[in-house]
Parts: sequence; structure tokens; C-alpha cells
Amino acid sequence: MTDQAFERAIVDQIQAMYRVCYAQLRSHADREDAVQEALKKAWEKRKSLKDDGALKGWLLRILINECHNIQRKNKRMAPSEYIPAGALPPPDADSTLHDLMLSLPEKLRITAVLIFMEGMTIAQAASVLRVPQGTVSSRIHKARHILKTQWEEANRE
Amino acid sequence: MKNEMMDVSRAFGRADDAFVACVEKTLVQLKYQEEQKVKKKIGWGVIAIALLLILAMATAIALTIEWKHIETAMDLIAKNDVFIYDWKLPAKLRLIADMQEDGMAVSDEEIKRLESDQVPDAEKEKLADEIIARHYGEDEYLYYYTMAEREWGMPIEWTLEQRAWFHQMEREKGLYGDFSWIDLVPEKGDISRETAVERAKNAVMEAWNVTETEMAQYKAGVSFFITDVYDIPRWQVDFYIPREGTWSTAYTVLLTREGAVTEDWEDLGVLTPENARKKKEEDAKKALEMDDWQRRGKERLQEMESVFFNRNGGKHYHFLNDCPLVEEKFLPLEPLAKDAGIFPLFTPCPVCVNDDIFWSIEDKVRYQCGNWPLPEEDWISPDRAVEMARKALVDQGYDLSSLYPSVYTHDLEGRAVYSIFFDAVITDMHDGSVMIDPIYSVMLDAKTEEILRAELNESNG
Repeated sequence: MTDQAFERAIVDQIQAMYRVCYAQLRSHADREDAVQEALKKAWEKRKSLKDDGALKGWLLRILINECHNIQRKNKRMAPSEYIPAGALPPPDADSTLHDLMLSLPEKLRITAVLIFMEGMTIAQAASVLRVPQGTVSSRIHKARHILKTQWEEANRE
Repeated sequence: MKNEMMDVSRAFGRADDAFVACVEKTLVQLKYQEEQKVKKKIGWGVIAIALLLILAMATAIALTIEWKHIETAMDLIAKNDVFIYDWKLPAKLRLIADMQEDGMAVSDEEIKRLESDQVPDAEKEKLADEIIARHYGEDEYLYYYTMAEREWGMPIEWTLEQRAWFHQMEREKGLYGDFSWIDLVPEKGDISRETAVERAKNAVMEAWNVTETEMAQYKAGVSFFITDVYDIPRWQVDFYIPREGTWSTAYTVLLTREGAVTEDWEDLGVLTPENARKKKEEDAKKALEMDDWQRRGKERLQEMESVFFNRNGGKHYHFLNDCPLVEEKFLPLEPLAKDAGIFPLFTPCPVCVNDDIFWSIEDKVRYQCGNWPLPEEDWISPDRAVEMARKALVDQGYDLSSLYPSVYTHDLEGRAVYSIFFDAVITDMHDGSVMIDPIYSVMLDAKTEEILRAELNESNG
């Protein structure tokens, strides 16, 4: 892949990168820091990516790692119970789904993002998250159950 | 999921303008930084000679060894698609055994240690990674493709036998995707690779008025192949030129099996006078589009400058004012950043080289943006806080051996507290980077020593 094609491919993944960041980081600044650092690493390693079709998973895996790094640092900035919990949903988001997704435990949430939002297969998500496929299928089963139950409850109210 | 409930993909909305600009700005800056580096590198002529030498070596080696280990790498990756250094130990051992069988430098003593029941797995893992790194370097993204590149050189220079074998193996393992292109090895009666290159070169010189001297700067890549559309074998010769750190196709010539130039191809890159004109127009259009894209990216970068400056103001203020080394050594190398008033994005400060867990409380307070208070006179000391935290965790039965304590201060609604984290610090053997895994955390009152919380980190539970 040429550098230009690589740049284009990255730009094509902006929405996916945004969703992955959003699922893991509450502040705009953190999301932007994460994507900057991930892009730097991806750029440095771009020549090692031989299968163009694997770019998305490869890029998101790097990004998820960066989000984890920032989360870890943030935990030291302030005790978690004093970090503002609820973020206002973006204006174009479905506020109910937004809150439901954010209420999922993080491991279920990021798995749900990869499968439900990014359309990855279990094998692809397992590769991105570096966990066995069985773990992904278990997480997605739980996430689906929680979302479905809460969605139905929310609609009954 | 989508059939049963509302579309989850709308839960987070779309990336806002600032996020999009952030990505574009970062790409522009990365590209700019690399351009600066490339300018300082040695000339392409020297690199081309080096590449030829590497190719010559790789070819010589390839003639004397088998490629079973590459097939094994493909096989294992096909079954579990992870980079090689992330493989489990048994998979690495299988690869290494095949590497030895193929004549690569792996000693019997090493194999013996790897197979011994007396050697702990961690030690075997380390040895296995060392052996792999000895042959393929410490590339955390090592894959079967990069292994082949290490051994044979750039794919454009692989021999016809290597290409045919490699792609056939990829097909067999299910790694080739839907491509219908099949590389072949010429048979008796076919023209040779050298003849194909010579004829293609002459055709380029004639159609594009290229001189012999100009042609000398190009590197020829050759395929002998069939596809689902063209089932009679034919030659494709690509002439590559070094451009932007990689090799780009300058001319492509298609030859029949017998070596005659053919125009029977839809690709604009193939040699015909009409296609030559179209290709030039197409290239010019693409160049304009690219210039425009870059220009817009740079404009966006300027537009967003004030936003970034304000958002990260604290951090960057530190870079410029508290870290003379950055100002002296880094910024002069980054004229665009300096002229635009845009500071380095990626924690270049020498103080920040190590993870902040290694810093003193004073440095954390000084160099981070957090509102961390410095310990006051009526606080217990940080060392005492660590001691108390350690005791609280040990009393709960936790094992803290090999964990590194780091101390932070907080003001929780007027209450002074210490947060102490006990982290596993792991140095990545592939790239030397340090990974920090927080295992336990304790929060205690900085004045009364009261333990407010002592727990196992959620992600390690």
C-alpha cells in the first residue's frame, strides 16, 4: 500500500476510530490524544501491514491499546468515583442507546462496539482484542442480553 | 441485533469536526516529519545498491534452503491470526524446529533447552523470542509475509519460483483472499525472465521515448501468471522507481507467453500509445487531488491550532517554558511546528521519557496537568503511605512481590489523601517498551493514615 493509499485508508476509518475511542474514553481531549498516539504508531509500522484488508482491525487494536494507556493514567489523576460519570450524548446520537452502551462494563462495551457497530466477525474481534474467540462470543452474548433487557425496560417506561 | 432493537450503531453519533480535524492534522504532521527525515537520509543510489546486495544474498540463500518454516508460519497464522511474537510457546517451538530443519542457524543446544522439561516455560519463551529475533528482528508485527521479505528481499524482486510457491501456499492456507491471479514458473520453451525484461525495456524506451540512461534507474519486477480472465500464461514486467520511501510503478508492459508486447489488457498502466496518454492525464489528475487534499489538511491544521493550543495548553506550556532541552533540541528540527506555533504532539520531553509511575511526587505535580497537591507538613510521608498501603493489602492476603508502588496525592473535597498503586512493570522484549499493569490500589487519609480503600484492580479480578 502506498503512503497515499494508507492515508486514505486511515481517513476512511475515522468513524470507526471515533466509536472505539468514545466507548472507552469520556473526554474529547483524551479521545484526541489516543487517536494521535495510535496514528503515530500505525504510521511508523505501516510498512509491516501487508494485507490491506486487515488495516481496520490492525488500526483499532493499536487504538484500543492507546485508550487503555490513557485510562490507566487517568486513574492516577483522580480517584474514579470523583470523575464525572455521565457524558451528554452527542446531538446526533440516540440518547437511550448511548446511555445503555455506556452502562455496559467496559470489556462488554468494547466488544459490542466491534461486533455491533463495526460489523466485525467473532474471529476478527478476537484478533483485535487479543482474546480467544470463545471469550468474545461469551462477552457478546452477555452484552446482547443486557442491552436487549434494558432496551425493553426503557421502552416500557 | 439490528432486527431486534434500534440500530446500535447510532449510540455514539458521528465523529465531531474536532475529532476529524485531529486525525487529518496528525496525518499531515506525521507525513511532514517523515519528509524531514527522508531528506536527511543517504541517496537512493546507495540504497538501491544495498538492496541489490541484499537481494543477491537472499537469492543465494533461497537456493540452498527449504521454505517449510514459512509454510508453517502461514499455517499457524491461518488457524490463529495473531502476530508471531504473540504466539503461544508450542507454536513458536514448531516454527523454530522447522527453521532449524530448513538450515537456519538454530543450534541443537537451543532446541534441547526448548524441549527440556527442566527449563521453565518463561525461560523457553524468552529463548524462543531471541531465536526468532535473531533471524527476523524485533518487529512486534512480525507476520509470515515479513518473514519472507526478510529472507528474500522486497516482493518486487522475488524470483518467479518464490512468487509462485508463496502465493500457492497462501491459497492453500486460505490466506490469499479472492484474488484470481496465479503466479507460475516458466516451462521449457518459454522465454526467460531476462528476455522478458529486455523486451519490455525496449518497448518502454520506444513508446515513451525513454533513454537507456533513464531506464537504468528503474528496477524491474516480473510476473509470469494466469488469471480467471486470462488463462493463457503471460508476462507482466513492472518498472519501479524509488518514490516517497517506497517503490512506485512507473511503467508496465504486458508480454505474451512468447514474448511479444500485447495490448490485450484493461489496465491503464499497460503499454500502448493511447494508454500512455491516458495514464499521464490520470497521474496529473491524481497529483492535483493529492495536492488539494494536503493543502486542505494543512489549512485545517491552522484552523484548529487555537483549539489544540487551548485544550492542551497546560501540557504544552510546560514543554516550552519548563523544558529547555525540548526548546533547544526538538523545536529547531520542526520548523513547521515552530513557525505555526504548534508544539510537538508526542511527549518528547526528556522528563517524560519514562512512565509517570517512576516520577517523584514533586515531578508529577510539576509536569502533569492534574491538580495534585504537594504533601504538606501535617501529612504522613509518601514512604509511610506506601508502607501503610502495603500492610493493608498484605493483611488481606495479597502478594505484592515483584510489584512496583507509585504514589499520588489528591484533595477530595478538602480531605487530603494518598493513592498508592502497585503495578506489574513488564518490559516488552520485542521493542523494549514498558507496559504497566496496575494490580492493586489503596487510598488512605494523608493525615490520619485511615485506609479508605484497598482493592484488587477491577480488570485483574
